Amino acid sequence: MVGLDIQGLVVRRGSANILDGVDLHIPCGGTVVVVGESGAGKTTLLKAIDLLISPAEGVMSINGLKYWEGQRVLVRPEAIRGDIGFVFQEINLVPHLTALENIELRAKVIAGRSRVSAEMSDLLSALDLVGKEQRYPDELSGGEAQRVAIARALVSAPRLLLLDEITSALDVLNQERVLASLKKARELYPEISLLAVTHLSSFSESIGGRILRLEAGRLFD
Amino acid sequence: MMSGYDWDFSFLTPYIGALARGVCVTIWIACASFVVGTVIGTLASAFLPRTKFGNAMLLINDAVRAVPILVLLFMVYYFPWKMAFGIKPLGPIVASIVAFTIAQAAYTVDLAVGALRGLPTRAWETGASLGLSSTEIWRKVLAPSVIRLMLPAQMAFFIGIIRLTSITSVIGAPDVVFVAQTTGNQSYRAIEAWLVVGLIYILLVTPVTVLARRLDQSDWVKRRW
Repeated sequence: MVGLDIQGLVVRRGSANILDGVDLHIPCGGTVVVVGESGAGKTTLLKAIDLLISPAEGVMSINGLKYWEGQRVLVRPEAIRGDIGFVFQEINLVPHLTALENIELRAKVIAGRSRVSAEMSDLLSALDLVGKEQRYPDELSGGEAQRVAIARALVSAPRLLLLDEITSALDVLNQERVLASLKKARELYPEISLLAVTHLSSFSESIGGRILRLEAGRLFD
Repeated sequence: MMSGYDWDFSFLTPYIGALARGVCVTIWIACASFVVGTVIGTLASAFLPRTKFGNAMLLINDAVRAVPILVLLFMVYYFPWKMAFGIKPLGPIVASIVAFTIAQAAYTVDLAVGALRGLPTRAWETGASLGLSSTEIWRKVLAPSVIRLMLPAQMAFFIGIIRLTSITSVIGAPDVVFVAQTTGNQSYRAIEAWLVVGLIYILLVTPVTVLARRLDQSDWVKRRW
């Protein structure tokens, strides 16, 4: 039950500490929702965990594998990102690839073809994407595109799923559909730890789990 | 208005072979310089900005782009190749290809650097978050968008190159213009010769223009970061 473990995470931008000693533990299969105002550092926290930005201090490990210490990465970033699925706030589907190709892009890299085929249909069904596989991102609604992004993040069966304000750009109906689909999809991968950040109280209530508040670069219960 | 003029295109009959060869020379100069220039320019754009003297190199590139293609053509043709590199002077066709290649490469560098800088940070972040290596991010996520961003402008430049090949006759490249000049001078029927050359250029350029317009309006080219 090790999951994600973060100790003393510091991220600096110039002389300011965006994150100022974040400690966080999410057990395997656990859910944590981080709430905070815009600019509190929520996205920075997720990007630091996924090594999209480099922390200045701290230790990060996932399922017992320490991958960041101080200012250096201890394993190949590509390898650790295989264990982490990331769904961005903006629709970040690769625009020249269809929905299925977007999902397969990650699947081929991380999981290997045979494993993908076995789980793909279940995943598409759970996320209500059957029949939309061949559509390009510009042919999908915002909610559909975000569900494709969730499928893409989950297809490699990661150990940790990071959700960055995934419903904030959607209308209420699409927010509900995305959250319902997410719950169904997660049932396929019960062992995945989930870390979501949001400024919407409705999101944190709907997704459940432990709620933490990010303030002045630190996490509080 | 010109009803009194006795139109006669029959004098061109002996020159049909020369005109056909001229068309081939025009197409060869345009296509060879476009392909080689695009490859050189794309490779240069990938490396130049990253080097220590990246900005200086881009400034040199701007300087090259400032030189009119006719001047570039003379510079290449009259360059002392033998004294500088120990090789024999370039013939008119090769000199034309070299000059147009330089122009195309310089233009491509400018275009590609602009396209790369125009890509949003989230494009790279998306590729990285998927677990792709830097090479894979470039190949599968970024490059297809860069190509889509560059292609309409490249097509427009290619159309320009086809038309600009007409100036290669000033250094003696045997393109269609050179053949028209020769036949017109020999037969004293310049207008017929130039009308035929105009028609040839219409036939060469119009399909590319139509293709470029279709491409510009296609969903394919719009699907980019």
